[in-house]
Amino acid sequence: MSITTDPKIGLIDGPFQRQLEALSQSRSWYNWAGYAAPSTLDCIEFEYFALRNQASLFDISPLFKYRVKGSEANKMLNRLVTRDVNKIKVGRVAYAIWCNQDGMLIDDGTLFHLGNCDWRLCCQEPMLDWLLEAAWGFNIEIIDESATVAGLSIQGPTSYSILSIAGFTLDNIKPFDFYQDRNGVLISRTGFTGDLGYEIFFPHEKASDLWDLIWNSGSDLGLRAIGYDAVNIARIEAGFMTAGIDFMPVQSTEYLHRGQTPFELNIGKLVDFKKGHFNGRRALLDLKDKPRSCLLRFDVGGFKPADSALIYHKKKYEVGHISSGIWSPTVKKSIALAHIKTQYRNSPALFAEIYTLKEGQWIKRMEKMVENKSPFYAPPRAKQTPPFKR
Amino acid sequence: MIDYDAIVIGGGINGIAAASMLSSKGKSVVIIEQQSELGGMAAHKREGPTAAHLLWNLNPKVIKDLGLGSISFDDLTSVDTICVCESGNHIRVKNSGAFYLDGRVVDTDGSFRKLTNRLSRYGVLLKKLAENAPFGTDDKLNSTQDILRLLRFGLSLKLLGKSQMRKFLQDILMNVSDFLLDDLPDGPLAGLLSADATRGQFSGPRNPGTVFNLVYRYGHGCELTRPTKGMENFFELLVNAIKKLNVDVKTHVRAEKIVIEEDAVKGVELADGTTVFSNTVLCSSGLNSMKKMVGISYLDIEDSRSIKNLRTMGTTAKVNLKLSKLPIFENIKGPINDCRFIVAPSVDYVDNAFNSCKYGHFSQTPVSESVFTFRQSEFWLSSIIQFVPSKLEGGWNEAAREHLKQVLVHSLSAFIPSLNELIVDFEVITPNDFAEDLGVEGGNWHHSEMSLDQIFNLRPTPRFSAYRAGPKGLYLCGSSSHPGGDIMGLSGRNAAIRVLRNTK
Ligand SMILES: Cc1cc2nc3c(=O)[nH]c(=O)nc-3n(C[C@H](O)[C@H](O)[C@H](O)COP(=O)(O)OP(=O)(O)OC[C@H]3O[C@@H](n4cnc5c(N)ncnc54)[C@H](O)[C@@H]3O)c2cc1C
Repeated sequence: MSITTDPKIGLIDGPFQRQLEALSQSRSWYNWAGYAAPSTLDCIEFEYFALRNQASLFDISPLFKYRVKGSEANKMLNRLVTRDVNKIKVGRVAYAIWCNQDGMLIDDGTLFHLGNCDWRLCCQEPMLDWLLEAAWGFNIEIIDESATVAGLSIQGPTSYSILSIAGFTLDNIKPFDFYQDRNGVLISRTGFTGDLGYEIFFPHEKASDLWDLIWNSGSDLGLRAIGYDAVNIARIEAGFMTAGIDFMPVQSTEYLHRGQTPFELNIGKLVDFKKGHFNGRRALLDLKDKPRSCLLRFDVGGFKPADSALIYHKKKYEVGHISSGIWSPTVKKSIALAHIKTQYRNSPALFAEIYTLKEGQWIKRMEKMVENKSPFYAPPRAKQTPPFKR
Repeated sequence: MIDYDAIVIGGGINGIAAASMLSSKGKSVVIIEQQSELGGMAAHKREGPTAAHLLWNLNPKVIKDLGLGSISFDDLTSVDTICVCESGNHIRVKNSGAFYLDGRVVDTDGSFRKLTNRLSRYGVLLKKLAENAPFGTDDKLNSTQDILRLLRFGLSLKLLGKSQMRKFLQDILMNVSDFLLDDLPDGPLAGLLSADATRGQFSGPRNPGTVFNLVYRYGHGCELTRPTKGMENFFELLVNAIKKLNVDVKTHVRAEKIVIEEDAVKGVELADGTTVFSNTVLCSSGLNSMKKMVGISYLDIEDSRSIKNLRTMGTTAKVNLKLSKLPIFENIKGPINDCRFIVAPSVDYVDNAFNSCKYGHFSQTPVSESVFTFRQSEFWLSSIIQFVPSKLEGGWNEAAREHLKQVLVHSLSAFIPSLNELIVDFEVITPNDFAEDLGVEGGNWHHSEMSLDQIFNLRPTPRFSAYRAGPKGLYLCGSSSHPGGDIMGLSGRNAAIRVLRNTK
């Protein structure tokens, strides 16, 4: 899901439109980078529980994908992102973030180290313009693969077994490893759900063949095609933030000072001050100890989703807001990602002000919030290698 | 290890000004210059006279820092302007009065004088702004100072009186064509001012902001001088002065690399393999050369983007014609080398000449400013031709140079009919030659275009307008920084003041 609003000139069909269209009961489409993407195909409950208990198939082709190659690719990327790309080995994927000169987050994404001086960057926001600026002066080439590389995300406990049936040998593929076959299919052990799962990338032409192969391999293992709504629940349970929801990509902000530093988003550990210069470093050195607010995970009392609630210290002073809040079906709690003003981040008396509307009646609740330092849900199968066969 | 308190890369007027300011405040300084002599673009030459031949804006404060309080009437000669007219009845402009050579007054209603007086008034205002860093670039510590300065500037605006102040604010952003033709008929005087406004620019008289350029040029009261003993001698004076101030000078050696450790400047690596160590480096080259010396990895992406987008097209060429003897001008009184000769008969003519430049050509009817120079026993006619693009279609080959010379000679024949027979030798220095020899993109007169989007706080780029760039200890002191080029020295001086403040 991108926050850049494309002019509504009609949504484009993605590479799996035929398959998705046929499965869509709910006919609920949304705009993801201009593509018609499913919010749900059937209903969110079925889809979510397939993701956590069986396996889910989600089209991630609308992601922006950029190839960065050339002798100075590492050098160029090391100026772009805040972590040290020289520490990412070939065959590995790394979560990376990049900032503007003022140290404000532009976007996050995954960096695939495909080969010597050959990388792919996947992200939510369109980034070609920025990458071309970042590339100027380096001996590299940027190729926009967004419309030529398709992607499927298969997540859930039976995903490994399904891919085995489909003929992929992933026994030694640890989280953040990837595997490439001779036909240009790349399978990485990554995902946006915190569960056991894989993301598969391949040229558009292969889209139908791969869908069929995986779909057929999953028929006995509960594979279900899903839309973004279910993924959204899973990603909040995993504690992952989303562009435009939990952080404001600074290049899409119009007001001054709406950007956020990695330290304000609790991803400061991705900033490597020791690696040499990178974009925003000078500003971040100054800002690292002065976060204005902090993105934290909270367990919220009660059972009503706390999305968008304002947060009060001692039920009195407004000190923050919730950017993502759901009732988690798996942990059976109301959970939230929330921005809290720095001086209140350790306050023991934080309350979410939750409003619910029922049959014409508004009810206001003040629910106690307790910080949760770890992901809300992190099943051990996500890390186990080789994963358990089902 | 530290060899000097500061290293200055580039020994042009701004490098010299920066070094003298620092040194007069007790800092040890070295200038690194790739050419064999100091003087930079202004003093650049081949066999014949230097690129620059007139002093427009030499700043008294710079001269004072140099300890040259006495540079004055002996060393500088004031220069009259002769506007060349096809009719043969040329116009002499002297102290903002305009006369035909036969003695008649041109400016019968006094409108030219009024206009130039207005320009000088504006110039006084701009000068105040030029002698300091742009507003808003001070770090927080000094912002009271900044506010005071702003108030003082506001006050001097107010003191113009309400209608004058309005007029100033309206005029300054205008194009010079509209500005001039409001008060003057289109002709040699309007042509002269539009040529002065656009010399060194990639903009014609109808481009917005050219009034600003004209005011900049006339910044110090319309008084135009030349060094009495020649530009080389003038720079010799400056060099002797900085040597007296104990500034070390290394010539004929290129700065290759600015050494950086832990995001702080440590020194400069030279082409001869040696390294000079210092925690402060002031760079007066163009921004692209600076970028190469620093290494792009040390610049933020926004900054390299600004450098990439900087408009630096060079538009000025120098053509020197060596003459067998001096032509004789019957009705020009006084020494002929105390005049500059302007070929710019009208605003339209100037605008036409610029049109060619837009499309990668030089005009067949060029705008030029020429002076006669005597060197030893040689006579030279030395011309600055405007609107000669650095990116010439077809490239700068021998034929193109020859062609440029012919075009110039043809247009000058209007007042020296015998010119062609007098020429014994010639040389053409193109904007590209300046670029290559001096490390200044495009060979641009001001290092980067002086247009409304590249002046004051936006000069050279919004982020670099406080004379600071990239890693700790790196400063910009060339004319691409505020206020800009000409033999003025304020960019260097302002940068040095910033260094002194930051290293206190
Ligand atoms: C044809 C022409 C005629 C002009 N005529 C006039 C005039 O009549 N009157 C007037 O006022 N102005 C004139 N100007 C403009 C004036 O010359 C410039 O604006 C001014 O000289 C700029 O001074 P500066 O010190 O900023 O830069 P420069 O004079 O360009 O000095 C930069 C110096 O840095 C050196 N440098 C660069 N890189 C390196 C390196 N890596 N290592 C070592 N050294 C390096 C260069 O060699 C150069 O000497 C003219 C310009 C041109 C092109």
